[in-house]
Amino acid sequence: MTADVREQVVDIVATIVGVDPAQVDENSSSSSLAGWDSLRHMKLVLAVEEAFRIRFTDDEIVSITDVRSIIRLLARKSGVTS
Amino acid sequence: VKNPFAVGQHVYLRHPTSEDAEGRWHEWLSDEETTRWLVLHQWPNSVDSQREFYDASRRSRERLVLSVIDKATEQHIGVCNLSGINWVHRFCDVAVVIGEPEFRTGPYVVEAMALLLRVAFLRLNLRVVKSSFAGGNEASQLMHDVFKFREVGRIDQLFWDRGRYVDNVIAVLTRREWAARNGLPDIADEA
Repeated sequence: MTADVREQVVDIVATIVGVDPAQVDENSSSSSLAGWDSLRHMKLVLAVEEAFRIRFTDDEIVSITDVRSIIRLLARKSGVTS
Repeated sequence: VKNPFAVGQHVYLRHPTSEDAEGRWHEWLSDEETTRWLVLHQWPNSVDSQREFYDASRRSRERLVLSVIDKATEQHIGVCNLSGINWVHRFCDVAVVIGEPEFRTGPYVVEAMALLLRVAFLRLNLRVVKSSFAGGNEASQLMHDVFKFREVGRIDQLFWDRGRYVDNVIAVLTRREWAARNGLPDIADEA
């Protein structure tokens, strides 16, 4: 997984949650970012799917809990390890 | 986890109990914010009404009602159901309500829906899950988008919402579509 993908995910999360990208890192989650509520969580799932042209399974959707989990999922789906 | 019917990471679904009916469940269905988008719940609810619904539901084979339980605390946080189950044509309607406000953020509602779809398609052998929701309900729209329901129709301005009429959106998810997305092509049958 490239730094570019990490940056892209961070940008998507920051945009959806409504914070500066500098406030988002791999540990950012619904617990640490106040704006990451269930509504924005669903927007985030859809935005990542659109940006990377993928479809998450139901299990993958449920497993998204933080930025790191998104990056891991993308790595697994693209067959590239981080 | 007590008497689970379907278990996820954060929540599990189980048969409702009389304690559920007598607990907060009836209050959720009187609460203005919770019922804003529940078209059939615009009348005050009571413990007695909830008990009647619970009694009727547990005998029904056309409606599967399940309580949504937070795994960490064993708290009853919501309810979900497959209703209007048609065993000839194998379709149903779906609904999920998280009643406890503090559980409306986080993964609970999405996970409850994921578990319920799995129950519908894999355990009950249903082939089409239908859904009907109000056009202005952003949370419902997003939920249906996330699970890749297809909008198949609208009834213009059917529902009254705080001073305006909004559309009734009708959406469907077939087992074939759900199975393909979830990597289960072997059950992608005739639907």
